[in-house]
Amino acid sequence: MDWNKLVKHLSDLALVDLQEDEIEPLLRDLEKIIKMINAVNELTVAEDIEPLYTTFFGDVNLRDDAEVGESTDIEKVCAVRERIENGYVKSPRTL
Amino acid sequence: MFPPQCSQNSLISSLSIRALREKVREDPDFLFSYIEEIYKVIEKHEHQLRAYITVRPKEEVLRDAEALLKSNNLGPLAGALIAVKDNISTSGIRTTCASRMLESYIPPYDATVITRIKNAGGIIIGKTNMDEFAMGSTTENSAFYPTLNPWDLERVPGGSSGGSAAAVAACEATAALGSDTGGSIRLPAAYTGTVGLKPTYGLVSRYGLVAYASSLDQIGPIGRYVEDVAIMLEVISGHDPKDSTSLKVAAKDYGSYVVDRPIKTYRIAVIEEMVEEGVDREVMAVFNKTLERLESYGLSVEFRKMPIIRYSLPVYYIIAMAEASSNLARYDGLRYGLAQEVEGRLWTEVYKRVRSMGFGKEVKRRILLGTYVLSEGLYEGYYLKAAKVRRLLYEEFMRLFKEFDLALSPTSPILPPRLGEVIDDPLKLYSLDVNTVPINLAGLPALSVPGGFIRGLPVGIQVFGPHFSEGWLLNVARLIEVAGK
Repeated sequence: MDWNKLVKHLSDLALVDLQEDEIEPLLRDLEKIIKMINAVNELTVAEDIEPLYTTFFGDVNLRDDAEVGESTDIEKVCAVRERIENGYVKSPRTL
Repeated sequence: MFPPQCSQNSLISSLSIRALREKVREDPDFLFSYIEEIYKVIEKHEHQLRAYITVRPKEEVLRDAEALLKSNNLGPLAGALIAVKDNISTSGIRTTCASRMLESYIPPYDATVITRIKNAGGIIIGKTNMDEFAMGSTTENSAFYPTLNPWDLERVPGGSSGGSAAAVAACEATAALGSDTGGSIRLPAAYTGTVGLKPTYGLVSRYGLVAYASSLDQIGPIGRYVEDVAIMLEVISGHDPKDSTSLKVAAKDYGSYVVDRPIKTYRIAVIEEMVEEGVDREVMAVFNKTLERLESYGLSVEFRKMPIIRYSLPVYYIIAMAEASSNLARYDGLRYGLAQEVEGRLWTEVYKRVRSMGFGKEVKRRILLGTYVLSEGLYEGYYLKAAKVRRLLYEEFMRLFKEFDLALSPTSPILPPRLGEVIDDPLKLYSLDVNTVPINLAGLPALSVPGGFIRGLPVGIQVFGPHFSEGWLLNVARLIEVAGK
């Protein structure tokens, strides 16, 4: 496997830039961890086994799509972000 | 038994939640002396231990105490000073997740567990250090500084809730909250000689917990005494409509299980794979002694094989990293957290730059690996396969608990590592969780209670059982606690 190419590909997919000095130790670690997780391939699992994504077996709490009454104050929420203009978060260009 | 930071001070600092409550009810002004005493411990030892990221100013806490006494809300936690892991939202108090990404983030709301603690008369004393975004087992992955183990300042306190456990062990708080995705409450409890409980998945609300791996994360208590953990659990558990995975179960009187005799003749299982290779000989000696003590109460102990449990570590890391890569996509530099100038720049450029600067090594590693196991062509072989093996493991546990009431194992296979000893080797680091991750994969409750000491270092015993068996776990933990005295 070309590990350098893989790291570059993953960094592009995950939108995480890596500094030069981060790449070498990451390559070493990824190789080790991927070997470790490959252990699941030792097991043969029947096709009809239902995957388990959660251990929550209750009724999922959903509320009606209606006004909920008191909510967190909008000014308090916006206070965590600096670039608010007229109640909107100012964002970078998408195109 | 307490570490030196605790025993060097007056007995006041090591009071249990119940003893403190009784004293405050008897003489409300005692609360002010108690707060002074805890801040003395913090002033004396915190510069070394570094259990906290944020300690609230004493004056603020004294004001909260005054308001509490005025309201006469002397509930179950009356006056208890609760340290909170820094990934749990606290309105108006910085919540960093020990990450540069959230270094200046002040949440506008309280997590449900925080609201419940305040309603029960508890006071938040500060926010504790942790591995960044709860990814780690030693608290060395904090973006700020590592926390030290109060029993030996050259060793780690475990992680990721290492700050919470160290603060409680060293009497810098009455009790604490941690979060546990693969052992992050139990491992630090084991390494610091405290009691830590991970509840059944869905028993405690996750509303306000910063998400790492949502199908595995649970908030739970850490205390110096089994009874403290029972009281805290009673306060924070119960249905919460704000969390879509909160179970509709009534709160239980967990304190009633903390008695010095077995409330039933428990049938206890030991899974052979959890005590075989890799478990330190001295840790095993303490574990075996614990089994003997439990047998002396008339409880039965039997060994059982569960070969599939060997796959827990790879299955856990595949699932946790996949969920992490998805959950952490929200740090885009726009809504909260680290920001960048946006004027005239493309969003991909801003997004990449923010994540590059804001995330540490372990977080980046897990995001990349999560992306790897979810990527086209690999998803079936990793994520889907892991979810299927998770089902098989879950079913094995269900079969086990038809025959047995509870199970025991050493919480950690080894004594607390020295600082730097495991951090540079991911496989060594991940293997600390070998006995704790299977529990999260099956959504079971589990706790760690001190079973004994080796050369002055605590050894934790993990007790786990079927869903909603927290009462039994606390009862058996109390038997182990009594035997250790």
